[in-house]
Amino acid sequence: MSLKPLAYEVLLSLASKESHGWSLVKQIERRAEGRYKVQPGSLYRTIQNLIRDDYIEEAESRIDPDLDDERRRYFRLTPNGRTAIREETERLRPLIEMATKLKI
Amino acid sequence: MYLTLFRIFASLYPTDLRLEYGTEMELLLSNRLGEATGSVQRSRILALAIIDLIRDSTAARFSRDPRGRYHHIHSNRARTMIENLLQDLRFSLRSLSKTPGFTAIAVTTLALGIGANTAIFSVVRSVLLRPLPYANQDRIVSIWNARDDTDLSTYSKPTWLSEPELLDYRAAEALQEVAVYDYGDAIITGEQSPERVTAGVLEAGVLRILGVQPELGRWFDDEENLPGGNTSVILGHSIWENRLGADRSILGQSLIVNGRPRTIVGVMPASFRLPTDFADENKAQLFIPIELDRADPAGRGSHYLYGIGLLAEGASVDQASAQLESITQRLTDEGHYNPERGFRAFAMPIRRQIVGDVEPAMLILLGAVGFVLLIACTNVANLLLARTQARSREFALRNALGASGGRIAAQQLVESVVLATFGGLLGMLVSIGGLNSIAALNPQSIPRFNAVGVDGVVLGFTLVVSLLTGLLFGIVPAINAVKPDLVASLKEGTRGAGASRGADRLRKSLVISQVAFAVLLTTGGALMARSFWKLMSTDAGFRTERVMTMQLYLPSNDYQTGEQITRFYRQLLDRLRATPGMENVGLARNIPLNEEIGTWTITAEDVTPPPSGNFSGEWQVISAGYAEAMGVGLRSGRFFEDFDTEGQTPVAMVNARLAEAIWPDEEAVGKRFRLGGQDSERRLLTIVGVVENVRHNDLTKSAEPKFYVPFEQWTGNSGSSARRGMHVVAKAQTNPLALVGAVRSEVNALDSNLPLSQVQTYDDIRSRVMSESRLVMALLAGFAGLALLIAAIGVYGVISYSVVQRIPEIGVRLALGASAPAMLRMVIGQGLAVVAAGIVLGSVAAAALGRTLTSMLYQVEPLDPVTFSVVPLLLLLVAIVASVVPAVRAAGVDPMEALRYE
Repeated sequence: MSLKPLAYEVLLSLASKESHGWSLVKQIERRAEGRYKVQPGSLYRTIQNLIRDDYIEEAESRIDPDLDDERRRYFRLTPNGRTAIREETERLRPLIEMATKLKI
Repeated sequence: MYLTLFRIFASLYPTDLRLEYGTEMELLLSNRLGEATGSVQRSRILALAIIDLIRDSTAARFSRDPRGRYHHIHSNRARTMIENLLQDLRFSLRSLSKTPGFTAIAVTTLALGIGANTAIFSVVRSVLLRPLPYANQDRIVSIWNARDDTDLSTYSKPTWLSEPELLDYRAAEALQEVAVYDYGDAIITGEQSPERVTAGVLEAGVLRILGVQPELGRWFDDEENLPGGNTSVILGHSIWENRLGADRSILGQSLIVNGRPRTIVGVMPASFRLPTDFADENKAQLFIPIELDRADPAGRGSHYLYGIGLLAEGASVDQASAQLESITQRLTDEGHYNPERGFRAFAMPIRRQIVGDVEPAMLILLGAVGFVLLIACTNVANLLLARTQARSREFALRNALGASGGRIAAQQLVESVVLATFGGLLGMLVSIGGLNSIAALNPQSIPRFNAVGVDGVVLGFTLVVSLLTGLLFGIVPAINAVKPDLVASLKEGTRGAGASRGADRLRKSLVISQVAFAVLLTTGGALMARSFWKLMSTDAGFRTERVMTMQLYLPSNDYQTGEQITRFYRQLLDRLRATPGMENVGLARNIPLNEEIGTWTITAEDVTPPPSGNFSGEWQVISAGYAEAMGVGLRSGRFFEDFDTEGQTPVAMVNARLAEAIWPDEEAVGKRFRLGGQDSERRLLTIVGVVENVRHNDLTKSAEPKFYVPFEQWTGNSGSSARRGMHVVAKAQTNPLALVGAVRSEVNALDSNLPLSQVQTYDDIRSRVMSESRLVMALLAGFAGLALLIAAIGVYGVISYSVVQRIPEIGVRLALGASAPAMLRMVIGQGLAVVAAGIVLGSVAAAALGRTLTSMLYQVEPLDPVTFSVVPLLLLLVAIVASVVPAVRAAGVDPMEALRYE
């Protein structure tokens, strides 16, 4: 089973530390180097699906010291989610290696 | 506003997702908007987020969850319907994206139409539809006096109430309460720099009738309107916020108004305005009780009070008017008024008072913008029609493979609605841009214009308009798509002209109606533009170039006697004349086009008064130098000089209109008159000069009779007290604004507590007067331009389509010896024939509808011959241009190539 690209991005962003929505957007867009933007609607539906599939879970809400406003909801990876990243990465690896070899 | 839009579209998501993450989504969007610079970028961000919402929410609703069920859909029938719809939707998106040129033109056309409608609707909504900020707004009336020259159908030229009339009118039973107010100057002093504001001087009843609760504190008591009871003040919101720091503990503290401490008893909410303040920048900012001495009211002829009333339960405005009229009739019978002046009082709905003047303009704009949308619809319908014709083989094939006619038509309709939805989305952005441009026109004279904005209701309007638009332009092509005869279409081959004769006629009639609408709009726009031009070039009797004005008011505790007032103004004039860069400077009590000037009865020496009563004239009080600074022309005699002081011969100047009215065949200079009626004992004034007429109250109406009195003689000539409030009128040698600083420092040098107010150039004043006219003209002209453009596209489309269809025919003609220029003429002629029909229809419609513009036109007839001959020519020109490209193509047809297809 493959993950949708945005779901994969969200899981990867949560792999090192728990984050809230805006910081996910920033991380993903930084990696994309301006090639695309994450929209609020898609992001939160992806989050809802990932929670339903038990790949991520909600950490407590708290204030982001950098953002100085309302409380934010933080999300973190579950063991299941970690496995999902691993499997998806394994699935993609041979494809990427092949593409690299073909110099595309 | 951005977030509201987003929220509306977010409601497309299933409820659980929305409840769980809706707020977070908005937070995220606002983070993103916060990073953006400028409204273009923000609109882009919003548009992307909304497109994502639409796309993603559709996916969310119809994706299977892990348990293999569709969300929210249980019945099979509904499922089939939704699946069909989804399939049509996907199919439409695919087929639209395959023809990007068509899609772009259609969406842009619709966006312009829908966007223009949204913008105008939001203006109309704020100005006309939104409820007034008063409780019981349906029961509030304003009360005016009318005379025989008052046109009650338009409520023009009413006059105010006097104190005794107020007491009399309270007897009307249809009115539960009657109250009055006036305006005054208020100078606020204290620790900060002095500030002059307009004050509403009210009876306690005014606030009761309007029913607006103060934000803090209380209303006035009736006792506060009695002589001596007047020591309190209620603050307007802006003064409370800007000058007093929105201090909530301010009640009970004192504020120095005109040198006198007053106790602050209340603060009004930000939305509060007196009924006459909605289109006024210089609105009342604080409120003090009016002092009315019931025992000793001012004269019956002293009309200065604004009256409002509250209708009794169940009473109508007409009943109130009838009762007021019978009261005035009784007073006339008792000899209080001249029976020949037709004096009577009437009530009018408060809404009429506030927005009545702009209502016709608003409705005209709404109608015009509706026509723009109709043109856009016909254009898209035409494009779609061409498309369905081109696709008739496809439809026939699908039909043969089992798709029902209904399904094919439904798919066509879905396609139209998809187009309209995209048009609507883009249209919202267009409307935001449009509103910004309308705001840039700065229509100051339009009441409640500052509250214009896009909100949920406006968005709902756009949504409904978009859907209706989609159905409107989609229905004809959809029906057309079902019609083609299966066998004929399949046999016919790629040219697919099976049903083309009927469809061609349809397409032509659509273009004809398009051209007709364009003629209608262009005619309206051209009439308004001509009227505006006339207004611009109207000679008001004075020159506004390089003139600036400002207002001064001398408070009574620092300037108690008339002598002090006169001395101050005389000193000020001397100082101002010595200011470098000053060409001329003078004073006036009331300056043209800025505020209304009233009339005063006069009696001429040795002249029999007219049968209707007395002569009268607008009364103006000025200093030497005023007429020169304003550039008022002198017909005979002289202007006032510095020596026209008290103690010298009492003098006056009159305008040509007054001179002609009283001394039609004689030289008025040297004649004498006095203020007041025939029993007046005021002194006689000798006319020293006759000046050109100046339009004072209304730029569009010819000047009224007017007389001028030197300010130093005012008290002696009229018996009134000296004028505390005067306008300085200064004509600069070069830049008028450069004088402001100098005038300010001269005023300061004389009295550092005196604030200057209403500092403005005369060009500003004149431009403000014309702002409504300019707004309507600019918008109608814009709509006309849009209509012309869309109609041109329509003509181009239909001609080039028919050229493509006739290529074989043209090939045959060329092969048989017809010349290329003949083909050129044939095609252009065909375009002109279509357009000519539209022009005739449109001109007839314009002639019929032109009358609705009458009230807005100035010196231009609704059937203006210039407009009605230029506009059709313009349309013909547009048609020729639009036909030239296809015509050249027709002329360039290679006969061999063309015939090969046959």
